[in-house]
Amino acid sequence: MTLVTDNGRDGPRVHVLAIGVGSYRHLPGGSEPRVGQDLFGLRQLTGPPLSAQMFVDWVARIHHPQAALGTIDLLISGQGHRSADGPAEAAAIEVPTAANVRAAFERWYAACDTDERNVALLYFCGHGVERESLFLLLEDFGASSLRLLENAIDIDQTYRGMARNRAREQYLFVDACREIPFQALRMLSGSAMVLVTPELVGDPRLDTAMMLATSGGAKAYGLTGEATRFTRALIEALDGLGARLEGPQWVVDVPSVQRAITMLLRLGDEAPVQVPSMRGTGVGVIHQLDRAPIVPIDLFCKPPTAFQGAVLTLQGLLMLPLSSGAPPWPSGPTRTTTGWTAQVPADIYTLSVDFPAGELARQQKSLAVLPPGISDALEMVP
Amino acid sequence: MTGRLVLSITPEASLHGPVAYQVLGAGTRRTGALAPYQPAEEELPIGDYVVLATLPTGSQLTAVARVEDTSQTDVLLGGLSQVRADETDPRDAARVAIGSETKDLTWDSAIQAPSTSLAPGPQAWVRLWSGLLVSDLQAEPEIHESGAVTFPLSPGMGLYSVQVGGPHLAWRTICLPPSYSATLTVTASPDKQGFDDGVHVTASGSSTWASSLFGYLESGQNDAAAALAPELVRLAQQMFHDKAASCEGAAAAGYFLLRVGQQETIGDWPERFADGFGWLPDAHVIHATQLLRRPGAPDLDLARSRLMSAVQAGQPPRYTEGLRMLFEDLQLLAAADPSDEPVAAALAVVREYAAACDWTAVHTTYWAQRPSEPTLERIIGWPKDPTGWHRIPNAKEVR
Repeated sequence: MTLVTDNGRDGPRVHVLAIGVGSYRHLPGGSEPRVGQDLFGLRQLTGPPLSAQMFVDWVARIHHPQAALGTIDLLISGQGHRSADGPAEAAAIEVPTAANVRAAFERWYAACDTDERNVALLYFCGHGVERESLFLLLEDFGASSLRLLENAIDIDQTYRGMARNRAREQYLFVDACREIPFQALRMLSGSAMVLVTPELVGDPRLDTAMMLATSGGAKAYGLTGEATRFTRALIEALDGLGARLEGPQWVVDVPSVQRAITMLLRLGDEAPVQVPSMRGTGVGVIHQLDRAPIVPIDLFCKPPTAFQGAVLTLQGLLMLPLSSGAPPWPSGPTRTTTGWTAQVPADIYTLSVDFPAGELARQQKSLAVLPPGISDALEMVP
Repeated sequence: MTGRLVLSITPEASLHGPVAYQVLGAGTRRTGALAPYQPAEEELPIGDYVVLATLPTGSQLTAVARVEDTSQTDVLLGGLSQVRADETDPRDAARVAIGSETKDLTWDSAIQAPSTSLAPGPQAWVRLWSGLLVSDLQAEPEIHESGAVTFPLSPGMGLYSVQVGGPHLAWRTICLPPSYSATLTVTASPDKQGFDDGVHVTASGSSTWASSLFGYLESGQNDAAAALAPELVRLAQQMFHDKAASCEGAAAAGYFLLRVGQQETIGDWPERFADGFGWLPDAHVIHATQLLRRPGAPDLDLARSRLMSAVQAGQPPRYTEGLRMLFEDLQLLAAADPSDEPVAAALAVVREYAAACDWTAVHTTYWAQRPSEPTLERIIGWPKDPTGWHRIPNAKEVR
């Protein structure tokens, strides 16, 4: 049992189950590789332990509008995750085998089921495959070639089965590579685990979302030894880039998180195509901020030749709630080769471009700087 | 004191369909839908506002506006420079390339495809199916600068689908929307081992509102979808009085309400939709799912009957959202009564479609030798019947 946080089950609470499967014992390089059996070319992963740890670290600072943090259950295989409490706890982290996941899920289910105001969060990072359902592959996947899906979770059916749970808000984050060739899917024999069987009970849930790192059979990506791109984007979104204004408050809700992740996964010249997707009613507020989110901006000149002599200033107008407005800001504006970048609190800014050498007259415009960020061309008028 | 804010958007920026907008000010948040050539007006207290439009791609357009009492304030949203990082998104690149050349492509034809530079070329073919029979395609392909090839189709209302394949390209079937006209778009795809097998094919109907709504749902932007839904729900509720109403829009409205759990807000409309459009599997699925999600004691007999009718149509639901609901609902019924052999048989049929489908597509798309024969086998080659199919031209040949 690896209950890394236990603040109790009384009243409305956020209960978390996080699973990161990096090492797979039956894949090449694992402790019990299947000799002569390719298992679709799947390999060991380095990102999931780090990603699960990153998610758990974020959850420790969650500020849900109605529910305080309750429990965090963590299962990890593979190296690289950090134990906050030292080697003893590190040794106690359970490996996400099918048996351990089933037991952890039942603990989590029971905790969530104590109060209908509870918030259920489930996070998974590891290999996955989508056929008629999305199957998440656990540490002992591939134990039998006769029943390949035996040690996998049918997350679609599990998600529907969670309608039986009393927790009215349920959010699942699935960061799974889905890279088995399409025509090989027919070789996946057996049945995956349904962790809670769906029943004909209607669906009384208030808000649900299952956010997926990729759409369909596409791959999820990450660099070796780093948390995955999706999880890093997810954390940035939860920390503020997925925020929107609700009255005087900045709140992080599901659609805004989804938009922020979508945008963040596009960044970078070398970034492969990765389009996240989502199921569920998905409009709920997961987190609220105590200050305006810090938002990245990229500005460039049109025509580019005007950039050389230009000097840019930004003045926050303190029009949006909780904005700290004036500098110093986390960064910038900093000159790049063709423009400027900065990270500033969300607000309305007056942007001025001056030309000390007198090439052009001063240019000004209002700029709405909102999450997840802005990229704007500044038309330089003679 | 109040003033008037008039919002409009360029067709290019909105991908030729309606988009969701928000107007944010001190203590004010207005939401609505905005379509090209259809300005939206907001009466607002005097002050400064941020206008934020969200596209189905997830990109956002922003503007700052000052509302005064002396005059109307006009805000035009548009211009790619306002969209964050779209240079690096190939889907937006597709939009730019296609949108600049033609006016008739909408979100799901231009954006769904991770488009690359060239169309599939002479090694691909297409044919139209009416039910289970090959029909005459009657469409001249258009080749776009981006390399995309489109086929404007006018099959009429019914269960039509298009099949695309090639000697090195897995045969797949794409269900056409319940619309008198549709567009098929074929682009090259970087996905060589997945469903696409190197070529991405999408369909779109004639309702830009439905296309945008499905775009928002597919990308998880349920809040933006909610801004478009009222108009589609209104039209859906009128459809029994107005023969010109869009069946496509009605299906979109039904699926949206089911997605967000508001299916009871339209009362018996799903039942009337299923009664009036019995040929459309989606109509049965929408009504069955409404029944099964009702808390308490759902009407299982009627739900079961609807689901069986959907399967007996001999074609899957036109929309992937419907296929997912049909599969899930049948799983529920089969689990509740394992001795129900007809349900078990129907579930087995639907499972075949579900296993072979592309879950990312708006319109049901699956590998198949024939529309009624979904498969996970990679079937390739030219059709044996020398008639009824057309070669898909290559952009290179024409240039």
